Amino acid sequence: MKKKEGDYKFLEVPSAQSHVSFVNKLEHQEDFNIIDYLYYYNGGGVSIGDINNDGLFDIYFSSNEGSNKLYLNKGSFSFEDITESAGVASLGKWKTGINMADINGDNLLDLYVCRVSGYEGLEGHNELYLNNGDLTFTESSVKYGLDFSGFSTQSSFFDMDKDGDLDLYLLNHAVHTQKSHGRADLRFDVDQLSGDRIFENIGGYFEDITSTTGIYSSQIGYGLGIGLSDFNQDGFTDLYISNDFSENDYLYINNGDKTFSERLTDMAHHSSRFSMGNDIADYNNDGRVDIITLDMLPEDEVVRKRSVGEDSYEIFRMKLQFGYMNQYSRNTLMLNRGEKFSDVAMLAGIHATDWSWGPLFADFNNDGWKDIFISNGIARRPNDLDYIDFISGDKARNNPNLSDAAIVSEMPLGKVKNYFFSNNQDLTFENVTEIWSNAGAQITNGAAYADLDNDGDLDLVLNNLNEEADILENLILREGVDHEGSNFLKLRFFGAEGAPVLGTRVTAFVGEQIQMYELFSVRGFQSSTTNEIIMGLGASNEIDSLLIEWPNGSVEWQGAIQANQLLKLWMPEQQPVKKQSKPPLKETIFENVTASLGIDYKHHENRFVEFNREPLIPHMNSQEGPAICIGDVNGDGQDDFFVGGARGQSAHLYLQLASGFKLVRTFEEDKIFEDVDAAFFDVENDGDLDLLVVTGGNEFDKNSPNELSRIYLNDGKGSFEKAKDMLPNLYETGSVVAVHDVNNDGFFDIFIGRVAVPWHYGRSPKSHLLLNNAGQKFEVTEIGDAHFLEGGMIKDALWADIDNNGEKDLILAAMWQPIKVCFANEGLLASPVSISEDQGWWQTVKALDYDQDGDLDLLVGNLGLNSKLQATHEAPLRMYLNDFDDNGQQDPILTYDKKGVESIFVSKKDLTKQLPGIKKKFLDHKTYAEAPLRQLFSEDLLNGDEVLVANELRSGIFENNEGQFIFKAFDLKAQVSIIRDMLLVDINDDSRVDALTAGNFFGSSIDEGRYSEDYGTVLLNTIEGWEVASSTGKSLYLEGQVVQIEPIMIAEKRAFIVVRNDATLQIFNY
Amino acid sequence: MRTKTIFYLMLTVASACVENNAYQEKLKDAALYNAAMKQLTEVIVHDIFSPPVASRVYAYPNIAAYEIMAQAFPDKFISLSGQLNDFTAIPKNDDPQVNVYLAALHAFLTVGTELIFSEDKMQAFQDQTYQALQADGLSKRVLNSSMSYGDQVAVHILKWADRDHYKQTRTDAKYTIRAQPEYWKPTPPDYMEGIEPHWNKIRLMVLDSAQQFIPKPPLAFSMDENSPFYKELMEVYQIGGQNENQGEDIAKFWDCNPYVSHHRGHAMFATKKITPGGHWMEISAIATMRAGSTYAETVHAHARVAISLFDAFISCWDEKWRSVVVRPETLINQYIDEAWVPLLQTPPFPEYTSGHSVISRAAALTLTELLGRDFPFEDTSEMEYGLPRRSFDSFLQASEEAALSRLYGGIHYRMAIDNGLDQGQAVGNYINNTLKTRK
Repeated sequence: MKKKEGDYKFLEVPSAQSHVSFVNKLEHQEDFNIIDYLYYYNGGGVSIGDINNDGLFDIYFSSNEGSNKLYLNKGSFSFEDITESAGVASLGKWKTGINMADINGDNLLDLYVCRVSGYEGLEGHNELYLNNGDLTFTESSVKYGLDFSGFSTQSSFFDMDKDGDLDLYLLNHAVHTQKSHGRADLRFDVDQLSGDRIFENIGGYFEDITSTTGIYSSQIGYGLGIGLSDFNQDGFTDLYISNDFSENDYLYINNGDKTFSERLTDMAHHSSRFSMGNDIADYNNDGRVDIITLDMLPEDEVVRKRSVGEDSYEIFRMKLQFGYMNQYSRNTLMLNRGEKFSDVAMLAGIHATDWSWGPLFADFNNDGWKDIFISNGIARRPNDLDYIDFISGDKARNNPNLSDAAIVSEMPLGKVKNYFFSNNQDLTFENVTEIWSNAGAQITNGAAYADLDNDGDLDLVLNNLNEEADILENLILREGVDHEGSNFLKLRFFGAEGAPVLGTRVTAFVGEQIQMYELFSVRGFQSSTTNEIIMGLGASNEIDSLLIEWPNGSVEWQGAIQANQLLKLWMPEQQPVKKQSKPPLKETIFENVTASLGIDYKHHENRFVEFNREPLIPHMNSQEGPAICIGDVNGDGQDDFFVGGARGQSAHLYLQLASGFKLVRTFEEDKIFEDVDAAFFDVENDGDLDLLVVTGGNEFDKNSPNELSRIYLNDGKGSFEKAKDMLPNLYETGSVVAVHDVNNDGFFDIFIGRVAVPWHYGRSPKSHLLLNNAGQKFEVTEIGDAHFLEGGMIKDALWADIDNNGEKDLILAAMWQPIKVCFANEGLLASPVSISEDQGWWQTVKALDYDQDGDLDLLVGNLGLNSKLQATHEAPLRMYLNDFDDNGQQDPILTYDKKGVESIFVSKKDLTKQLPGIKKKFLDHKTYAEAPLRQLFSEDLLNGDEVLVANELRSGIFENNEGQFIFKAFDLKAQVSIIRDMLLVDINDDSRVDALTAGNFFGSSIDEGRYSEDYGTVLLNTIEGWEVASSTGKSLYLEGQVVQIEPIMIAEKRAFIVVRNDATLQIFNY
Repeated sequence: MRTKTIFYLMLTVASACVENNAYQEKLKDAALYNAAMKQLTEVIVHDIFSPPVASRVYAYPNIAAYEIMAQAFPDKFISLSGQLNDFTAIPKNDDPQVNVYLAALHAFLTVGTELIFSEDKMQAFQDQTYQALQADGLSKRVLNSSMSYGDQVAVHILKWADRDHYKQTRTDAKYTIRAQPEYWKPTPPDYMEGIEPHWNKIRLMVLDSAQQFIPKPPLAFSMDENSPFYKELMEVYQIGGQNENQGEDIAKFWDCNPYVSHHRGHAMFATKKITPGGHWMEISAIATMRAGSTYAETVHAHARVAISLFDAFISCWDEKWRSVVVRPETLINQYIDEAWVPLLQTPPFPEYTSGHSVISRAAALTLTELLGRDFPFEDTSEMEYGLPRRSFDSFLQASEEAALSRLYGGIHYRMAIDNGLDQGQAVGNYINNTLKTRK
């Protein structure tokens, strides 16, 4: 049913009513277009503020080529164009970002206009229009030292040094891409036109102090976004700069002494690649600011497949060597975890919004949680693969004198809807684009929000390319509409004697909820909003208390404030009080004691790129180590440990002494083996712990002796010798060993799980139960039905009695499989049976009677939800393992479900390198992109061979209800990365066993990106369920890929070892 | 196109009562065959085949046509069966209705169509060509018989081609970039992955193995200013750049890069040209035309040139992925001059030896054997790519210029050119001495 106008939250105010007829019009010119200037389609900005202090917000638009426009708000969405009389037309090319700020401290908003000049005939300089107070302005940039001439994107005024006046960060961009990817240390070379600048306000004149501030100001800074915030809450304003192309984004921490330190690589693991605008705000109401950055990954699969995608694995790695950080072409949503960020954009569902310019965090529905608006669209898509591969070149060849206009006209159009995302209040968002707005596809660059009609909700103003600007009225509080649940509080801030209010932080407390806002007006893309904050309050009629932290250091508390009013706040003039320190973060209980223990071990993963031999697989199986096992090997009552090496690195045996640990043995002779799991147990029943090491690596061909697992026998004193011929020659890539006396003969038997057949991703290797023949030999033996298993890609195995018959059963966690159990009965094991239909990428399984009902439940680690790969029972992931081109080699093809359509995940480029025959039918990218899977491959081929399915990617618990297992997923906060191991211990001393989960995984494809965003999660057992504790205090930042967490007693204290791939060991007390 | 067809149809109707045998002369004309090859080249360019893969696309169709000619003129030509690795005799033609020229053309088009992607473009050419011939009196019967026989031969050739390991090499491992400075790394602006690291597994035609003619090893890598390697690097730096390049005309003429990526502003686009092999196929056409070669002689020349290109590429690629030598651009940017850009875009595979040197020499020797040492010709093959014609006194001279062009282009050291020419000489001579095609 077609919606009625009143069903939407936003409706366009007709220009007949608003009299806002501004159009940022681009006329094609042969000598200046997208081919000459890479940011030709970046459009203009919107700046909103009350220029005449009449209580109504006025609007200024920038036009790239034509006249900027200033509209005076006359109320009721009626505006008057006063551009001419105000003298702010700013004629001539090429204007970009605009900003309103009170630059001279006279309590009147001035206008600052950024320009591109000194390039391809563009002239002029940035302009400062000083507000004369009578609706006229005087261009005064020279007088103030603000007449910068170069490639400016946007200005942001802020009080850098807390001296009571506004300084300036000027965001500039580079223009040339002849060497599109130079070395990263070019960022140290200053470029006068494209490098960012900082100007200090010294007695009203802006001095360029860039060279002493420590910021980068170079020709590789393609600055497209600037956001301000006090990230570390030290009272000094910090900055986030989005850079397009290869250069990293910058997170500048303000050192308080007019210098800045770039910290992004310490605080985040990656950024957007083609970063555009950004915004900074606390979106999950935890009092910490989060960051959104935009990129250009299309949500629409057809557009995605038609567009240039990510680099291949090798090229991606090569570019990292140039000195850049990991960057992925997708939006990021950097959740603030205290000292570091986790990008949860994919979990939140906002990572792919196409050619996106400006994000705005704002509570559009007044429910107390900030939503997101994203401005979107490009006039022409220059990254269209057909255009690049077939159209441009063929055209140009046939006509070398082809005009730019003709070339440009071949690029496909890129109109896209602007996105609205509603905050689900659980870290995620719902895409409500179609629900909140009836606008069609368009091209919107700059955008800003403000309450234009003073009704208490936020309206939107959009600067569109080649179409009339839009004013979108927010209808939440429209007359005649029920206001229940849409309460609000408006706050306006006034500085004492012209002192800046930018930087004010306001925290509202309502019941258990808090909301935090920082007053910075430059947000999104090339745009700025007002000095007013509107807090949505939902159904609350009152704010319990309000904390205002002013930029001059004053701190104010206000109590019991009624909703639905405008609160005007004046900065206290008294001597700034010393800022109270924040209440400390919840005390952490984990103490990192690694440094004191004398352990000098770092795992070095060998450089083996499985994608080079199987380019279509989603992840490698060759980076699973190191192995670890813990036990008292010399009989002194202390826990010792063995830690394995990757291929080429010897394993280490550490003995625990009174003073810590001592390295007593390196297994140099066996360093060819990649050790992925290990176990200490008594093989021969001679009273000491022997050692079994499982070999993985997945590197050597099958039947290579370098794939074999090994046993080392203990002489009773902790000295180990490799046993000969105790294990059968079983090849294929191992993953796990689980030890248990299955047949009750008094000797420990073993299960060795395997994860891969080399060169054959997805094929089930053979995993084995090996019976211990009187301590002499392990043999593949007939024992029940399960002596021989093709259990899939097994990642973990566990012996636990889950049917309460007194015998431990074998529980298997494998990728693309349900959790399976081989039930043990009278010393025999039955064939594996699935405990549910939930097929995951299971990584780890632990047994625990968490609900204390007398049977064991199963905690399981999985991929999580922070991934481009999503799967449900209705829309599963599939992996086809056929030989599609009949060349004797398997072509694994991964598909996912996008809006009900099964779609190939890898790029056409990668697919057709292995299957060039696809180009026979689908040479051009458009046809390929639009073709359904079953047109690319016949039904026969797709059904002809094995198809793997995954339909549940969340980590969680299988609750044992009298033998029926019901899956209950963990909280979304525990789904931000893959969970690869869990430590089950009572963390909060409530006599219930809790779980510390950890993981991350870097062996994934570039299209997926690294799973790197988890820092370790504490899940507290409440018997009813599991609660995520805010565990990211100081000492639990588990960086990197945690493969195992094992408990260990050190000097009779409880501790655990965190074992990480390609990193050091870490030991924590708890 | 449509008006043309209607015109032909009208002609057919008008002359229905008189037997029209014009088609027979047209079919004998080598220009028809050259037009088909031109069409194949067009599609190769459009579909973006890399140089070694393009050489494969040229070889099998020409061999198909040649085998039909050899069968038709047993007193002049010798079949390649038993001479090319694993190649057996084509089915015999016993249908008197078959026009051998048409059958050869059809086998060429059918095999070619199978090996490229844009089948519709090949089909359109075929339809148009056959319609024109029918307008000139070609009967349905002769057409059908010739097509049928051409198809049989094409099937035979494609079965043989299918076992040359091309398919298998699609799944072979990609190159893992090595960190040491002497090894090849992807190059600007697109940093494309290395092309065909396993091309030496492709079944050769005449050579016994890809390692039969291993060139001299490359100069030892050294950034010592007095080392021979460094001197060669500096030579590229000095004469192969964008500014005041003395050899610009030569370099651009022989660029033959099927996919040059450009970045201008935000716009990316590719210019596409014929491959080095395609350039020599074109020279073969120009030269045979100038020599007044018959249809059969033309097919013979093209087949021999294509075979020499095919084996020469394998020999060259074997060396490229053995020595994996770094491109001058990489080293110059890293150690000498960050802003330096070679005149030509560096193609995406290791430097040593120069492919154009190896294959040009092998092809030139083939043409020299067929048409003589002194054979002046005007090379017009690059004109439609906006480049002027160039004149040469001999094929060998052209091959030397093609080789040297890589130095001016800034994409090869002199060692890759000199030793590449030697490698091509060895390959070409061996094929000339081994392959017997003329009675």
